[in-house]
Amino acid sequence: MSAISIRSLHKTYGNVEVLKGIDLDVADGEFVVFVGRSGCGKSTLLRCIAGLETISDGSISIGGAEVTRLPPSKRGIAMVFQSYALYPHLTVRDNLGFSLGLARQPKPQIAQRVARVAEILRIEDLLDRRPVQLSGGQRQRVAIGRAIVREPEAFLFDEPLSNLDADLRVQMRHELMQLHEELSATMIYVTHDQVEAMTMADKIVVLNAGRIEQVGTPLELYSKPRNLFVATFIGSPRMNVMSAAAARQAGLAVGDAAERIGIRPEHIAIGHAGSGQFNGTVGLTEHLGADSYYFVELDDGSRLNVRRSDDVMLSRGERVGLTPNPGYLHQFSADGARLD
Amino acid sequence: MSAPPSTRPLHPGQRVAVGGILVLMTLFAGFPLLWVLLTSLKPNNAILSKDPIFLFQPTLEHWERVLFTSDFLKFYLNSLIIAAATVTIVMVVATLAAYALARYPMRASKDISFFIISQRMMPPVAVVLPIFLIASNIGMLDRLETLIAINVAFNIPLSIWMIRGFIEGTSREIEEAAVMDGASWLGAFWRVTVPQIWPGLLSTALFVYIYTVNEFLFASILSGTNARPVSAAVALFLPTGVRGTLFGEAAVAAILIMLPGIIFAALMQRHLVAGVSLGAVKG
Repeated sequence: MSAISIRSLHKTYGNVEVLKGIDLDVADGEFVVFVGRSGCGKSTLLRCIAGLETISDGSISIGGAEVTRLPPSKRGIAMVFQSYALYPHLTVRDNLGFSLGLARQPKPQIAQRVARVAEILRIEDLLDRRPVQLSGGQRQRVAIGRAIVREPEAFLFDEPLSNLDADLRVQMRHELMQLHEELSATMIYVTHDQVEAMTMADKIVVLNAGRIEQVGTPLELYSKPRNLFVATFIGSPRMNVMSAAAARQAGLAVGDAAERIGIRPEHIAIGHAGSGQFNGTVGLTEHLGADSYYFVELDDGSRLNVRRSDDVMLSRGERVGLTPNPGYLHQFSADGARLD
Repeated sequence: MSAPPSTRPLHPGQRVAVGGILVLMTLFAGFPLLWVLLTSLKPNNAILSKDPIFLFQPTLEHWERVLFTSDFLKFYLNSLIIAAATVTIVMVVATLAAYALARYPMRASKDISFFIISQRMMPPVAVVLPIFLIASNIGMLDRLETLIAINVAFNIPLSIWMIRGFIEGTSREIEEAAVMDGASWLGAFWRVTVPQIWPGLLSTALFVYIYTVNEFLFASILSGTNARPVSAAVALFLPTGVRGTLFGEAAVAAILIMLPGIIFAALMQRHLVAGVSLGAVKG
């Protein structure tokens, strides 16, 4: 059992409260992703779980055992750092075997476990090299191998793919997901990359200014964001937000309590001017190949981003009519909470 | 990551120019050493000759006198003991202090750092009299421990600053990785960071060694016949009213004083391999 449970966790640096009462449960074998903007506390929360930061208040338990005051090495977890953090003076073999050496494991056993991990990650040829002789992707593999070799209860990843180029990132993402399947281990993964979060996570935790805004599956967060922050944070490009008054005026069915309305770019139909509930002029356009995004300037001065997946190309300055799909309207109260 | 140094081959003309400059620099730096070596082997009449003499019948009389009939070896041993103790204490204390300043920033870190380096701004002569009086009153004159303490005090500030710079140049995440792997914080520093800054530590140790062996002011004032180190003892061979300067013996002393430093530098040369930490973190 390697479930992780966090209760009322607070972390302050001097007078600044970085984490403001975090309550979170991560089930055994779950892949949980922390997302949020820079400075929201996601990496700090991960480091608190790792034991690299002492917490100001609250408790953390791993596998049912309270670990709040335990040093990092006694928590049964391994961490992969954003910068890889390989030991520069040691070979890949010694990097992988470092923790086992510290634990005074017999040398044959260390060699056996290092060899097995090298085989899993396909880095057998690199064992006698030093980190300086490796490419970015190889270094990342070694860093992951160093975590695996300890056979920890849980893995923590701090933006591990952010230094890789786009192709390699996709490849490593798939490898990590495969690894998660093979090891069935609990994994917590910090990223600011939406695609990583949406594709890898069993559960996403959205953090904002030291608080958890919402916890849920990627699709839950996408289709039923609990508040305006999550609604605009999850999804790329971001959800369109307009005033409820403008929506009512356009004839959309909006509840009385709603102050703001959200609608995703793919849930707006685009047609001839006068054919929809909003009229506007096509402004900036982004053609991504399969999809095109049109930023339409509405006549009231606001702007809606619309996705179109067919071959019809609209040109800048063209007059269009927009029709939001009423089944996908998100309504929010004055304080940003979701209204259902 | 910075660009690798250029490996573009030089023009033949450039090579001659660079070679010529290197030869000139080597001669400039090496000639005094060669002259001292020759002087140590010259008979007195050749040393005192008005014209420089390069060809002569070498003699070991100065070496014999310095090594076997003077007290020089005793003073030499004093110097080695003072230098070894100073280097050891300074390196241990300064490395730990530098680690604390580099890795545990606190509100007063800047003030503490400035206070430490400000100790080095004071000219030693400003405190020589009070230190002499204190040492005299507590019966610590002419003792190796006193000279070790003085040298430690004078070398620690700059050493802390140097080592702190080396530590700050390494990644804290690598230490954190070692802690996650089961090391204590100090253990992580020792196993992971020290090997990366090893060349810097050796340079600092050499710097402390040279300063200590050359230290003259306190050595001459606080030591007598018992704890005198070579820096003060070289005066044995300098002019006195009756005897005149013993140039040959002074040359032998100079060579012996230089020797450990040269051996130390030669041994550490292989550790000064740049780029050991490249590739450890992103880049």
